Amino acid sequence: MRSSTERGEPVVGVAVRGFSSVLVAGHSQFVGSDVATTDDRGEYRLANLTPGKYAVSVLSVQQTVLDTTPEAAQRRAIGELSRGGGVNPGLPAVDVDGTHRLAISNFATPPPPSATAPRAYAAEFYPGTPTISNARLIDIAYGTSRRGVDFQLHPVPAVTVSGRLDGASDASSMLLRLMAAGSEQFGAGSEAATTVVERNGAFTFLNVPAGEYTLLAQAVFGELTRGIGEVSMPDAPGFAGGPGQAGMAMNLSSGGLNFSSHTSKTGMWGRARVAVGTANVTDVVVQIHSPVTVRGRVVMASGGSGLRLSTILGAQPANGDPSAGFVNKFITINGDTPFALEGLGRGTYLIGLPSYFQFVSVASITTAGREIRDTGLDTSDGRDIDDVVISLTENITSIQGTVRGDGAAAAAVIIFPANRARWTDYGVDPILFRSKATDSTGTFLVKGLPDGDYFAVAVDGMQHDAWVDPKFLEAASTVATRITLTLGEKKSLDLTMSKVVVK
Amino acid sequence: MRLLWIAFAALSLVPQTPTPTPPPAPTTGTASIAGTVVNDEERAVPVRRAIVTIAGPGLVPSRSAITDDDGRFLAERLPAGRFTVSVSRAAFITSIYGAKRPGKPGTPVAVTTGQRVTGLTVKIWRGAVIAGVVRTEDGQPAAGLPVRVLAARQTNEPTIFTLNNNGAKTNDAGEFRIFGLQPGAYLVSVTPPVLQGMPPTSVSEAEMDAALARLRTRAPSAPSAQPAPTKPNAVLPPDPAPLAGSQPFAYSAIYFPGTPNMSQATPITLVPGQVVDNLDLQLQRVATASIGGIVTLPDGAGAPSARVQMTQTAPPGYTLDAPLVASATTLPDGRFRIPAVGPGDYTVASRATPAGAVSSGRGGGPALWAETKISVAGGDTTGLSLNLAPGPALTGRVAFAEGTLKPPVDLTQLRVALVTPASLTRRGPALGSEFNPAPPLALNADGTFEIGGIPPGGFLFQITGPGVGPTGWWLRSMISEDRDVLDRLIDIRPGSPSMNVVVSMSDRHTELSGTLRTSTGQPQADVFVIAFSPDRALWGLGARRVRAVRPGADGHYSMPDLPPGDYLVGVVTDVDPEDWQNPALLDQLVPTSAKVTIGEGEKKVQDLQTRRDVRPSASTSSSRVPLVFLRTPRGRRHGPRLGPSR
Repeated sequence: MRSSTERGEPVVGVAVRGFSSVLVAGHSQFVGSDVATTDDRGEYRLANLTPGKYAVSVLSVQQTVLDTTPEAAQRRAIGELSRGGGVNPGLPAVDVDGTHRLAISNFATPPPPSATAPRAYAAEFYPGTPTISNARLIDIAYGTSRRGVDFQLHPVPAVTVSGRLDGASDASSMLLRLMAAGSEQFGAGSEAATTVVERNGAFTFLNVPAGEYTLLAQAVFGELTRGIGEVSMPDAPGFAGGPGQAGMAMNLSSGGLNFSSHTSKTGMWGRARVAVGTANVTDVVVQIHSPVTVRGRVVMASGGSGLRLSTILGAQPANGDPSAGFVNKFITINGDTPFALEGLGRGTYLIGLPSYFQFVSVASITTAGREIRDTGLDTSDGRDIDDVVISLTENITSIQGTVRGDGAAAAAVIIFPANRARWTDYGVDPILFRSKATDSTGTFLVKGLPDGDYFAVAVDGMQHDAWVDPKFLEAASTVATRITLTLGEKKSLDLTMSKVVVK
Repeated sequence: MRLLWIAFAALSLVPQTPTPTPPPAPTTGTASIAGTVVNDEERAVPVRRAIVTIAGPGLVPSRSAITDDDGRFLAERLPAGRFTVSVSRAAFITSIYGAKRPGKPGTPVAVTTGQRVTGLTVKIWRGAVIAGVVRTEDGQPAAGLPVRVLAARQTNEPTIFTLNNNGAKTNDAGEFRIFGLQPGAYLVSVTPPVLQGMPPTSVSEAEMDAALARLRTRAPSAPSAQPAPTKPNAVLPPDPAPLAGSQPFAYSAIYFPGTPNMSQATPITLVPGQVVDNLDLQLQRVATASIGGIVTLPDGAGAPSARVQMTQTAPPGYTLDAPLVASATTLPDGRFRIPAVGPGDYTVASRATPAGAVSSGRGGGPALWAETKISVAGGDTTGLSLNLAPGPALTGRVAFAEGTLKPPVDLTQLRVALVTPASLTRRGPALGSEFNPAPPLALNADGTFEIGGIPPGGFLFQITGPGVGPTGWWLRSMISEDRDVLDRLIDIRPGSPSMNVVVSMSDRHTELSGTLRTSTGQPQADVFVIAFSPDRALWGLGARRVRAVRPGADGHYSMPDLPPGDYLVGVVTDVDPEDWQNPALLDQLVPTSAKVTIGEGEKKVQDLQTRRDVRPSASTSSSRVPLVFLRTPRGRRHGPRLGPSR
């Protein structure tokens, strides 16, 4: 509600954000709310929150820019969180050592940089803790208003963290992000510090408070957000995109979550653990890895109309970790079409078309003779993969039917995979799940599900997004109707209302 | 004067090669500037965590420092040069060293190689605050609506309201708070989102009940076994005709203190740091009117496909920077209609391309113009008549005076344009009038040009291109019928006669410069030096024979490229840049000013000495500007022996 400095002065114009825990791909993650800004009294108000438990944080990024960085690039590097119609305080950067500058935007202005005893205002979570694991969660129900979530900021001793990238040919101007350990999945604005790589691959983070960190050097990073999106995050230098732009912004099927991702041209990535104490850290070496490229062909199953279609072909991390980013490409498919997805990290990626795209469906994806449509592609050995064949079909499935019973006119029909292994690790845009509201006559229509075995259940409309919880799926599977969909099948399915209680 | 200052700056813009150049290596040096930042309270208190920025030519990029717990700052590694020292802090007004008032020009600080300038005291003013609550017509908080402030910028007259960059959205409780505002007059408005399409209509409760009853009889009875329609819910059959007796309305923008009519808005005047936190606004449904009429060609026939534009009128004594409200295109017979116009005072203007002429796009080419003023108060206006008249043309030839420089070889590289004073000083985003003057036009190879179809308004003439600038050619004069058109705004009305001019470019730059000292011989910096023509007819908006500058910390002042002629030079301690064009102020200055004459290409050096020490004043009213007597270095006072007695 209010923020002040160690002397009790209001902290004006700084960013405050709520983080709530949600299940993504079956794993618990924190997602950021809209960003509020403190006013001239130091007061803030986070509104339009979806009910849930929130950790509230005053953001504070120690942003290092180079003296040689052009002013325009510095503005981007500073990553000012844009505020609708707000006062632009200007984006000055303070000279520290003749090479590096500490940029100041809408975070608390630190004490003057000092060669002997630099201090910084660290980001903190209510009530006054630097890590989200110690934050006191605030329970927000519909219509709840909580006051008195106040912060008093204290400058803490800070040090310089420097080092170099190893294995990068030219990483100059690449953005490096220093994240509190355990907060790697947080997006722009939640860094403890950022810097840009110098021409020789060296880097310096100024003003880093003590703590355990993960240094992220990434071609692609993304974040999950929940809110009405009044705040847009800036592009980092060398990165294109941002929410709703060229980068992928995707409405998740549940809870009004948005996924946004920032993409760089370089494609390189690396991470390193950094422990910061009371002394400068000087020799951090970040091993830089080449990104993985996945190539192959998209083929249309025969018997179709031979249509030519433009769509997005994407690769999403199966575990739904937004910090791993999301690679996507506009592609025009015309018969047998080659494709290449560049910039993947190491892990398991689900390949495919966005779930909203329902003119065609993915019949199969193979590599080395194995079917990987539902399990994902393993890139953990860091090698490029060249033989992926994505088969599309115009012969899409549909399930149509009527729900009977109490509340059938306002029910949610949830269809989910019969294979329990698919209840997690389905990425941020699941293909094998559908939650569809019935209309006033209790009927529903679900189109474009891939062929396979599913459970279907009709529940109260309030539970339309309960499917994200594997425990709900477990309970629902005991009362659900099991169905098998074959390619192109037009299925009729009548359901009766079920009560699914998650223990 | 700000206007002209910027006009001159624009003249000297030389388009460089478009290839992006690598950023210059940062400049560095051995000088330093140190000082203390204090607030604007009577007993000034040091301000900590303020950001001090040193900027100026030769310093790339600019340098910033943060003040410590005692308000002290130190900027090191500076090269020699003259720099502006500004201070910013959230909720404060970015203030410049030497400024008498917040947001006003200050005094540059000169440093030499290795010099350590210390002890600078920079004052920063707390910004004013406008806060309040926006409620709907039934008293509920109205969330998510943009609240805007229009800031008054005083020229001579009238005062121009321009959209300020400050603004806010109401939060979920309908509250807004706009802080860090400069002192001055503001119009505050809340703007509900524009509803597209047909204006909504209000119906009585009885009519609503009847309509609902009709709906119920059509709706299918709850869950049935019928095949599902592909779209949920029965859809109301389209019914484009409004219900009988209904009155079209709109949620209008509301101006403080609660009027949809901008011309009836009350400006709020803020002093530095003032907090006005009870500025509540209530949304209103206002009856809207339809504005219709006919646009006719000069021969009386209806003008087909003419553009019609309605702009809003500001409160009395003010004008608006870019007040577009609505626009329309005429039918083949010349008729037009603009629906859903809220109450207010408007100017309706029309533009058409004459038959047979080809419009060269945005405002270019020959054009016909008409304009009229109307007042709307809910009732429809149907019989508006707009009679088009040709927009005049400005034709001419650009000539280069014989001098040391060779005239540019390829004259087609030069561009000429008419620009509005507002477009040069606009601080916020333009709301956009469609009726702008033509974009910059390339000269013909022989130096001739023709700017046709000039819209109604007052304009400044500009010429830009390679070789035009402080070290090249400058715009010496533009003569039409023995009069220099550049001396004042070019005023165009529909039907004004066309003008033929000779534009003279000169490479003989004039300069009026010198050093200003106090009666004790110390350099004097915290004042303005104003040079102005003794001819009152050459004062006012767009005047280029009126100029003011702030001397540097060493008392040195310089005014390049004043047109040759007689000038009076005066000194004032404290004046708003916008007041420099105020004839009343200049009238007061006449008795205490020194007379100088600048010849063709003359670099005039005029040292000045004030007769008594200047006492700083916080006066904001131009009628109370403290005047300062001038003496020549030899002590002879110029001008009549008038002025304050001692």
